[in-house]
Amino acid sequence: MIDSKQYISNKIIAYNGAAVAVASVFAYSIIIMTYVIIRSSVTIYSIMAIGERNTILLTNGFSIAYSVAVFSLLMALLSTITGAMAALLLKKSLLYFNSRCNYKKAVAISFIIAFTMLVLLYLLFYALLKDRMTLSYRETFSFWFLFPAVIFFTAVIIGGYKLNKVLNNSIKEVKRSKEN
Amino acid sequence: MIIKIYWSMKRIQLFIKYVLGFYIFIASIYWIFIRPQHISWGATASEINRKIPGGELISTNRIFSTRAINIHAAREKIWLWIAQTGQNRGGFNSYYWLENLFGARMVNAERVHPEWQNPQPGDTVYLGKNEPYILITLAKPNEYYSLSGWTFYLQTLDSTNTRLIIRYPSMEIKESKLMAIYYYGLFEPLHFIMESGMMMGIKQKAERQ
Repeated sequence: MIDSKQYISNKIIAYNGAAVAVASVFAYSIIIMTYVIIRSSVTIYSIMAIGERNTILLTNGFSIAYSVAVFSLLMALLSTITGAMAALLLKKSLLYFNSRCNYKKAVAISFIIAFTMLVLLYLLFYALLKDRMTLSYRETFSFWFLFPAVIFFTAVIIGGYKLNKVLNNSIKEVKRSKEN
Repeated sequence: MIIKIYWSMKRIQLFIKYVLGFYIFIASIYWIFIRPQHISWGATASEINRKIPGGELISTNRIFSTRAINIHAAREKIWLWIAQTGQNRGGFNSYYWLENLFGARMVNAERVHPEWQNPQPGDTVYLGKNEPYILITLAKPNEYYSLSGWTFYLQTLDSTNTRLIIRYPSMEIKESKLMAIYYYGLFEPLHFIMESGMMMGIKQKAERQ
């Protein structure tokens, strides 16, 4: 096992993990915002007459954008906790189980961490929401479960891979400085 | 290598800053131009100021929105869709796919259901599956229908044109800052999206008949 205090600090790791989580929430929110605006605009376009259309299209679009922005800020705040925790867990696990910084092993460890955290998060959601958690609708399933899970997996695996590179480099540097 | 990683983190931070800037822009446009529009979307000054049945039941701690839409149908045809409002009936005729994102389990009826055509004061109307319900407080067929102050009023323009006016009282926000933050920050724009969607949904179905 490697002493983790010698390498990139926990504070920086947690900060970067939180930043990645916030960026992911924002990216996802903008996709959702675009989807909801387009889909509702198509409905409005098919119902309202030409003279009445523009005001409602504009008002509806900005109201959706504003609501999604407020909601995504709240979600981003909550996601910083998950992001920071995932990043710290990645660092500790990589240093403990992958002291030679093998890249394939780093990806496998990241996958396990992503999977475990996702299961724990879903159990927490289930405990909080119970029957409101429905998988009966394609949109609900995709919006709350499928897409966030894909984003979370991707972020943790890429993050784990990149963190492994940083750790590999800093381990070499520490060794070099000890030799000198 | 570390420099490379930090460079990509810089890009992520830059992305966050751009999105925050975009959100500030959206919020400014919303508060300056959009909210004053949507609070009385489609309604004339006289409609905003007019008394609507059910108004006397609402406390003064609330603010109101009044919205209106022209429907090319007689009010008897529009009433059929209003009468069956509710998750436990024919849905809200709004964006059901958006409601279902929040687990409402909403199904909008595509036909008139005779069994739901006789709403009575005291009947329950569910907003979503396992969500709180509201009570029908007033129901006069072909004229008005009120759900705890959320009133749907039908005004005949001529034999084939009707004005649907909807007045919605906010939650009690004048005495609670926390409630006001929630209402103005999230609930009010969401309510406008869903209510305008509902008005257009009713218009589409009544005109199609």
